[in-house]
Amino acid sequence: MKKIFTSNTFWIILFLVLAIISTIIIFIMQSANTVGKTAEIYSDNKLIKTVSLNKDDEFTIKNGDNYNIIRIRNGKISVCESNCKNQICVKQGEIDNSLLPIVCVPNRLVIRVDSSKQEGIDAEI
Amino acid sequence: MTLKFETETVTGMTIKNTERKKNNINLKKYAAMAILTSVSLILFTVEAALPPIPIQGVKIGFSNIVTLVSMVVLGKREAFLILVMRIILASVFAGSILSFLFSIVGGVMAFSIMALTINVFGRKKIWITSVLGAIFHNAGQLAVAIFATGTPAVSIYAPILLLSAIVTGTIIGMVTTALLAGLSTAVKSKTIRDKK
Repeated sequence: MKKIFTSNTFWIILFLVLAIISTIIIFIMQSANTVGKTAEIYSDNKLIKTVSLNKDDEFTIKNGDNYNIIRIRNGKISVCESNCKNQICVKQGEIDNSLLPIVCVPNRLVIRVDSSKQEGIDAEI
Repeated sequence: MTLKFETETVTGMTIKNTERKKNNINLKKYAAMAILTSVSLILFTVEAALPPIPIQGVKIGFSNIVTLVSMVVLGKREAFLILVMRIILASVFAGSILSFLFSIVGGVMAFSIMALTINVFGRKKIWITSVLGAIFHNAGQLAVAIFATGTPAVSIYAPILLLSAIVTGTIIGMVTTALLAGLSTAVKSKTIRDKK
């Protein structure tokens, strides 16, 4: 019994299965969320703004002394400037689906694209 | 601190005086720990300077090479000290309270699982230990992210983090195996024996 758990084959198979499962989940999430049209902006875990991704826009979200400048362009949303130290939110670039929300931990900001609240069906044609 | 070194191989000579011997070994060990800490700091800095991977929270985790190597060569307690020192120093130089929290939780989670499993898998299968460490590291960081943002929705990252942990953990494990093979000629350790 102990031999199975210490064998390379067991772990290779286990990790491969886990990797395949997570890849499938990632793909399912991605395909389910390709038509996100609105984005929700949370600051301090409170929904402070819901924006449409159809209109190009640029605005600033402030949280105390911290700020994030958010830009919407071509149906995609991104943080183009932030005063946080790690700048991960800026480096993440543009998102257009709910697969990877932009999370700026230092400024306690979360931007999530919501695919369930699509704007009128006539927008798709 | 208990001595885990094989005296002859470390000092390269046998000293009759046990007291002197002890001090000498301690000094050598502290020097090795200091060097390994700075090596892991350098790896940490180099990784931070590399172009970032566009997916949040995903990084290769070069520093884990040092943790694994020191665990094998010096022992678990020493490896833990090196890990904690690296995280504190890294946070002092470039970081915040939050990044410290991320690092320490991920690091301690990874260390615990690696310390528990390294004797089971030994040197030859160290890649399994490395992958388990990476998975637990990411799990710890995800937990901090959920806690810090107060948004359980962050857990949507879980499959991506799991996949990246398996990939990066395997890479780091292979690098560690190669490094240990190269080191074994220089430093012979009896701390972790190969299990056949």
